[in-house]
Amino acid sequence: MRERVPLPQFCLYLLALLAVQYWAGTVALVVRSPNLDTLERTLTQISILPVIEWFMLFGFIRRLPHRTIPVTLAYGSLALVVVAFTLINHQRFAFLFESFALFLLWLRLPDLRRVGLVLLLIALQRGQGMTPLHALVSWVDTRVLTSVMGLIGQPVTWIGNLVLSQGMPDGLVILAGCASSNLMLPMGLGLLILLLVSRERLTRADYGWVALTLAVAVAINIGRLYLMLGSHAAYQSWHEGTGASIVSVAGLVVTMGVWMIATHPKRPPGRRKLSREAGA
Amino acid sequence: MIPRFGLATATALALFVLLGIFHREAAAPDPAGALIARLRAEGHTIAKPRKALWDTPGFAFSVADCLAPVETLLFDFDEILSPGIMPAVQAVEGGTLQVDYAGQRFDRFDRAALYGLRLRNGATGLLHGRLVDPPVIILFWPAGCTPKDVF
Repeated sequence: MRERVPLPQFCLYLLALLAVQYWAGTVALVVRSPNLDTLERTLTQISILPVIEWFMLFGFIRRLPHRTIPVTLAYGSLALVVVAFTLINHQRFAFLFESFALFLLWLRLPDLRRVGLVLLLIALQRGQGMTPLHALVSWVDTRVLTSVMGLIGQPVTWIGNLVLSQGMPDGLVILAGCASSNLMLPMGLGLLILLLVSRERLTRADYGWVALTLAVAVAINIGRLYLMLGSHAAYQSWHEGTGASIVSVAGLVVTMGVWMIATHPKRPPGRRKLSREAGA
Repeated sequence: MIPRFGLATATALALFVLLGIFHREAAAPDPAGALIARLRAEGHTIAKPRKALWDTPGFAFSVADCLAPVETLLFDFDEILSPGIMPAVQAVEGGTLQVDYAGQRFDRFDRAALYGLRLRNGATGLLHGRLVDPPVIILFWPAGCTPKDVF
């Protein structure tokens, strides 16, 4: 056995295996759809952003330097992924677990560190095990929503997470599933992933772009919650109907738009780089 | 020629595909359905079976001495972490609240006691190699009705 494995080859094969594992659940749902309605519902639930992220990640590993890594690390990483197959009943947790383990394992290698970080962010983006966070954010969302409605002169009362308005006199309870964090995670982490695979190193301005995206995610969700309070029909639409799809598309457009603006070649470089040049 | 590491990865991929083909996923547990079946077997009438109240599984069942059915909601434990959930749900449902979690009954929503019980159950589950996270069952007994131990 050779003593070292070429880095690009290692990344390409291992990430291809991880990509199959990541998308297997979705493919199974599509293939096993018993009727056209279920198939349509499944297809509309597929998020486009992870497709772009995986595509960009494969582009990133093609640009990795032609170095080699120790054989123990290469086969150790592969063994870890194979061990995670045993968690086939909990695919999402399996992916989160192995991404975290690979991130720790690759932390000491500068060439692999970023790949590990991107993988971990992709896993975190799915929101597995994040219900406690969403539950806490839903409480903040209720406060923000009622404050905004009060500011614009809309009559509103609230008891805990229950919001009572003229359109919904029987009230709307904001549960974890409606929290802004459900939009903040894919948008914020999505932008971070796109920036990590398209930049040599992140600048201070990049963190500003991520913060702006998170703020927009909150604004979009608060707007959605406000519209849900309009009537029962509006609730249905913005909760799981056409309105919900509009929110998903808006999230994708904002994330991609911010990434394009942030990485536009004609944009002046970040503040840190400017000051370094001025110092030189 | 396919590199050695590529062959090893292809073998792992074949193993994953085979696991996927022969793996039969167990049906997702339906704690609300199980409770409904149990209550029916004990002679209760399910007055208002429903899939969800704001996407939360729940139903209502009749009790001999009560004029109105007892509303029941099943919450994911993590969902009740939000400090605003219980006041909201109580405001909508009304009545006298009773909480049932992991076989223990509480006559009020005692967050600290519930978390303590969850921690104990988690530790015991880890020791026995079996981790389960039962839902938090919340019953709303109508006015004039004395809460009883039904589960």
